[in-house]
Amino acid sequence: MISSELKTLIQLLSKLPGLGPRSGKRIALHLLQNRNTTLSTLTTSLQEVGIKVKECSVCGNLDSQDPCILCQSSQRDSSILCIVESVADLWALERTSSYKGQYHVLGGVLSALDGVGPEDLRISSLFNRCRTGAIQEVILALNATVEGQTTNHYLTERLKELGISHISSLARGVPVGGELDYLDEGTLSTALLSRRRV
Amino acid sequence: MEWQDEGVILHTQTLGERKQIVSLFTQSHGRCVGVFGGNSKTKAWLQCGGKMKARWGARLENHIGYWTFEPLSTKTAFLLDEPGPLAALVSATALCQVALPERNAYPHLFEKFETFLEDLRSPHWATSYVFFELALLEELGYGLSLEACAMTGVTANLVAVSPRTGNAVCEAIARPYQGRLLPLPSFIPEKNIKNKPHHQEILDALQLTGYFLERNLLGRPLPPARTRLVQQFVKMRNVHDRP
Repeated sequence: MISSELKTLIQLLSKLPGLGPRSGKRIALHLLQNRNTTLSTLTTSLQEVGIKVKECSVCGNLDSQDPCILCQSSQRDSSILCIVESVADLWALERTSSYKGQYHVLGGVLSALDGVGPEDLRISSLFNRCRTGAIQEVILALNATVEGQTTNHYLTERLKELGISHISSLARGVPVGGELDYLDEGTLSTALLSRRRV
Repeated sequence: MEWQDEGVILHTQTLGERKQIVSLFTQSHGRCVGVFGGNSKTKAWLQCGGKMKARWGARLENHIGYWTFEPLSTKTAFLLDEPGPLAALVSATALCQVALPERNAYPHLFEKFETFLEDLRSPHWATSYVFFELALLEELGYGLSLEACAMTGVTANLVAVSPRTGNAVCEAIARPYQGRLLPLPSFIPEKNIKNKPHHQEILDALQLTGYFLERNLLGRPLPPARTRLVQQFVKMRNVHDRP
């Protein structure tokens, strides 16, 4: 009933994050019903992204230029380095428009049980960047999970050995719109400990 | 079939996009694994060391099953800024994950594990960790005999342990075999959990338990999280115990 080409397309679409076989079918039908507007532009875009977008050799960001536009920008402070777990985290921080330094994407976090060690992450390239002497301050923007904080402690130790004295991490506490009654005791306790004078 | 229990999260692994395979050390059912299909909010609960009220359900007993959780307490948030206790927590959960067989109840060990989790916020967290490892060895059938000298029977001045038998010996017996026995820190035979020994004594204790965990219990190298804990103590010793 369905041609093999279409079946392959549906299978590929249904493997994408957030999609299943039904959504795969719907998207495939939508693309075929809008050949000229959506399908052709999507095909071109996918091809271009596949060819041009690469991992930045400096920070690990995804961009069509290498080094990426963030690393090349002269308007960004090259003495501050923000370490993030993934490109998605980098994009999240960029959405805030409140950080104007450089980034370094680790590509994961240390996890002893899952067999992820320092050699599996972009840690050696991070240390190489820090050895140049251009980095004055490092911001550890990793997730507030056990693995994220274990990585935080590991990096803090090693970065101090490299002579980076100004190391900070993201604050933890009450989120905007959060109600105290619904927060867990750990988050509340951390929020109390990191309270600030108003 | 279905049951309810209280347990502590040992390990989580992503399954597909949203689901997690969660390994839980429960009070009455031992270490159990199941699938938890939560959202981004409930995913935040799933930190190792978090205590949960859990319901496990499956059509058949040998199925992997599904979890339903209600968080009881999360000690993890308090430890995130403490490298030592955090490393101890990760090491203890990693050891339980690799050493405990699935679906075998160890209520006594669970009690010890809970005590250790409580102690993580206290000054004697390191000794508590050592006693937890000793309890793990004992519960799984490889307990060490550290109350009296295996040769003379005396209970005082126990300084070393035989790597072959796991029995303690006093100083007079140990002297001719120096270098071939494992050092026994004094806080272990004294069973003084509230003691705050030097970092070198903790390292000696970790060498002792690590030897038997690796050789007898696991039969393979210790988990990297355990090695990282030892490195943490080496660093603390170099900073604090410097003459």
